[in-house]
Amino acid sequence: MLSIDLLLAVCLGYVALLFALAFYVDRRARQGHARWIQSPIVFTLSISVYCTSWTFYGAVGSAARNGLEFITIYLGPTLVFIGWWWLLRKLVRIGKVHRITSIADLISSRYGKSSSLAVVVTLMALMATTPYIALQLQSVTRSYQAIVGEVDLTLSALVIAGGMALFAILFGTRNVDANERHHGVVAAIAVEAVVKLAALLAVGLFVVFGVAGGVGSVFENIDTDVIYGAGNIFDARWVTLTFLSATAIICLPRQFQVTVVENVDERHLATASWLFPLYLFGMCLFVMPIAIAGLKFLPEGANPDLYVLTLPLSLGREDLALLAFLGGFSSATSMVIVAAIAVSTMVSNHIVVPISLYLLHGRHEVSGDVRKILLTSRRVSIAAVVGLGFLYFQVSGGSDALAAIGLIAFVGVAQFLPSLLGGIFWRGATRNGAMAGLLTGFALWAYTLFLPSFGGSVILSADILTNGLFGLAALRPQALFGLAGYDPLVHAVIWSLGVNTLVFMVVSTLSEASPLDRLQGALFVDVFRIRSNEATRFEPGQANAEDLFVLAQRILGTEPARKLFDSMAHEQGLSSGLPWPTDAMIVQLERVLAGNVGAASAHAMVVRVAGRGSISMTELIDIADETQRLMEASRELSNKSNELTKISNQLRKANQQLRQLDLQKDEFLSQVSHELRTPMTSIRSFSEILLSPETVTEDEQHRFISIIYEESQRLTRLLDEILDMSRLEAGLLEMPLSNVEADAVIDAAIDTLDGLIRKKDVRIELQSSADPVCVLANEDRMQQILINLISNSIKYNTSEQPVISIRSESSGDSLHIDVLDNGGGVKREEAAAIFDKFSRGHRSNLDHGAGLGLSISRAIARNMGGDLTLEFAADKTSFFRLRLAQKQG
Amino acid sequence: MNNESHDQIRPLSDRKTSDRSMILLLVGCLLLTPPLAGIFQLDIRILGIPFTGFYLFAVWAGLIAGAAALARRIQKSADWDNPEDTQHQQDMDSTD
Repeated sequence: MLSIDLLLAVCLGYVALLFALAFYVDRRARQGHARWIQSPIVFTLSISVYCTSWTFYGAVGSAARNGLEFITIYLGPTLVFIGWWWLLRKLVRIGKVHRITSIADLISSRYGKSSSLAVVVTLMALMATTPYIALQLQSVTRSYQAIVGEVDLTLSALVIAGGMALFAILFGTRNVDANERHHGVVAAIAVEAVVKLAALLAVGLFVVFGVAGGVGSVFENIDTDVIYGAGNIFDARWVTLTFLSATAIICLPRQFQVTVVENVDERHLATASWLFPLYLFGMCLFVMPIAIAGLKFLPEGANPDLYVLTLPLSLGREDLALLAFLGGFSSATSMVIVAAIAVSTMVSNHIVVPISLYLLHGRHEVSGDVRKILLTSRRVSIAAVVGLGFLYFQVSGGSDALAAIGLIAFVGVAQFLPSLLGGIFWRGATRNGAMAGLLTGFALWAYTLFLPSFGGSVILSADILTNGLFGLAALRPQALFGLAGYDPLVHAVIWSLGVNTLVFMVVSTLSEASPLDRLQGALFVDVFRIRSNEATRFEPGQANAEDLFVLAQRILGTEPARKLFDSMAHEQGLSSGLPWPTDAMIVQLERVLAGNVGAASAHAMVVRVAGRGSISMTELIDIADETQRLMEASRELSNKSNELTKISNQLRKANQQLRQLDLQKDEFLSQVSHELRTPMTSIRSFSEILLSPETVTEDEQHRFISIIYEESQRLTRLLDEILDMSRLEAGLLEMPLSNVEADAVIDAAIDTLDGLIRKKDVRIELQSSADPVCVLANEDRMQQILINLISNSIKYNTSEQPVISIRSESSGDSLHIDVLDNGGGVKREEAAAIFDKFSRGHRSNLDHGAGLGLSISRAIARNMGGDLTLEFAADKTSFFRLRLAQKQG
Repeated sequence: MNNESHDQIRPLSDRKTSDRSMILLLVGCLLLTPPLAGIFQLDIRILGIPFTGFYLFAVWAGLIAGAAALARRIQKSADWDNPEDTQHQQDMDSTD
């Protein structure tokens, strides 16, 4: 048996060593000589604070009871670290940019620097951590008890708790900047991490090779039930435990502290991504063999939770037992120290500081040093947190409830997960959503898991546990709303996290985010887009630099505050004096203060001193989107300059066309007025003559009136044509198409012009295909075109013996109707303009029309899906060709 | 979403590395949880070790090796974006 004296001496020696190490490292670090402490390996080792005594002793206990299931507690963190690029990296970046001091600070800062949210998260973290600390105290006292026999549990627990609190206070609150790395603490827990791994490996190697005699023989004659647990190990509980442990490595306050807050370099995460899983792998490697050996060699009824210790003891290896004790001691102390620092930071920043701010309200001009308040409150908080753990241990110590607390605490802190993930990946998450989700999840956790874990002795009676609240079976804590048949843990996770997530999302979508909430949301979600010094131009207000300096002095201390303000003044290009209180400067100051007192408190203080009014929503959204806009703008700038050149070319072209059109319109108007003027003039002058009847004879009268009549007719015709033209151009003229026999229309046109033909003695030659051809056209309009073409040929024919030939022939899908005459044709240079409005060929020495006929005809032809063109034959004679679509099929 | 602009300024090989880390994570999740893990709950032994235990530790070791390989690649890549390298990143942005 190890003597008490020896054990105490080793213990005290070990503790003294840790104190000395922490002290030495702290001093070296402050002199700038401790670069090695900022190595990725030390960072990884400090993360291993995850492995508490619950791991060190409890894993073997769990393996002895449930087989391989214990491994899930380490698989979850492994998966999180392997996927570090997607989550941890973002958390660490946000932590750095916003100088986050704790998980409560992160959640509060994200949701509009809400202090109420910070208080809620702090209380929840405290509630989940206190029993966990009690568990560590219990395991240390029990292991002590296992070695030396009967001891005063209360006294030893008190001594251990006091020692841990002292260590945390000495090395955890040297500096008020919670954001700064606690080098001494980190060094100590790194050494402890090595000790606990070495101890477990040593015991494991001893068991496998010293006792069992090889890897294979450990498992000889072992029932598979021992290894697989009862039945299928890969069940809902397996998934739940993996998920919970993955959550815990992110959400446990102490894990957040070492991974996010104390991280000095994002690059360290890359190393930790495989080194930390490797550490866990090492911790787990011999758990199963030790458990099996314990079951084999130790008497029935021995506590499996102490196999690591009792196995070497019973086999006479006191040196190994001592090492194992130190390993367990290390696991417990490192957890308590880090957890106490993490939780006390929260308690101090989110509860004590706001209260003292409130109490000091109205007399903040009195230059009290807030630093002192801060340091004192943090020290008191550490003592209080550890003290609470001790009290809890006193009240519930020795009960089985405490052994199960590890997983219960996991589920408790897992309630942070929806708000945390939602906060950094979802812009739409709001403060109200987070608050509602957290409270609901926490209430369900307490009702379905935490309170029932006391077995009916605290708040929930045994009667309620079996029969439900108010005797309602639906409200049974472990079978809520009839969800029975599940493991209590799985049941609690389904209800608390499920409802938590749902409420968080529903309330978020239903509630309106405050401006600051939205801004922070954008800054958090887009942390990789926004550079830290850029997201600063917000919150207008008039601040006094001196007031700000006083505030900074009170929190940071005189010298650091002076340095900070000097550097800020320097940045603004000032050689001396205080910096201008620009928005950027105020935000920078607020960030620095946030590193000391948390975002919510820092915001409250700065707002009070700077006396800012409320911020308008649009302003905030503008700023949040500004960087994004800037980046997009610069990217698009090059594209746009090309595009602009293209567009300006297009515009120039369009402008030219417009000008031409304008010119044409002017021409058209002047021509129209000219055309109208001629008949109007003659009508007017003849009417004038007729108004004095004594000067004209009856014959003349009659002649004049007939002239007026003819001229009015011409005027009407002209107006009709113009009207037709404009309707055609606007597409307003209705022109129902049908199948028309082309030859019949040609005959009808010739018949209509019969009088004119006889009068001018014109010979008409008709050539058409043998079979009648049908075309798709409007009969009347087609006839109008042909009449126009034929009458033109007749009117403008200067030949002695006028001959007009009309031939029609099929060409592919369409029918060509050509109208030729022997009257001189159209000159080539006129060809382009012949279809223009008011255009007349050289043959029109005798004016008969307005010159709209051809352009109307062409418009009609086009409207019918065909065309009217001027063609030139091989012998340079010209003819008009009407093309129309043939009837299909 | 958050990595969009980020991805644009990173070389392709680096983006592939981070995509691979996602693949590794998915493979880990699939192999270590039911229903896939249930396939490997067999009543045989390898070197005297029950198969399921052997399987779990083997997958675990594989994941660690994969993560180590990826971490090496990521650390080697030139434009690791760290707050210290922000200036560097800004330069890249402005030339982008």
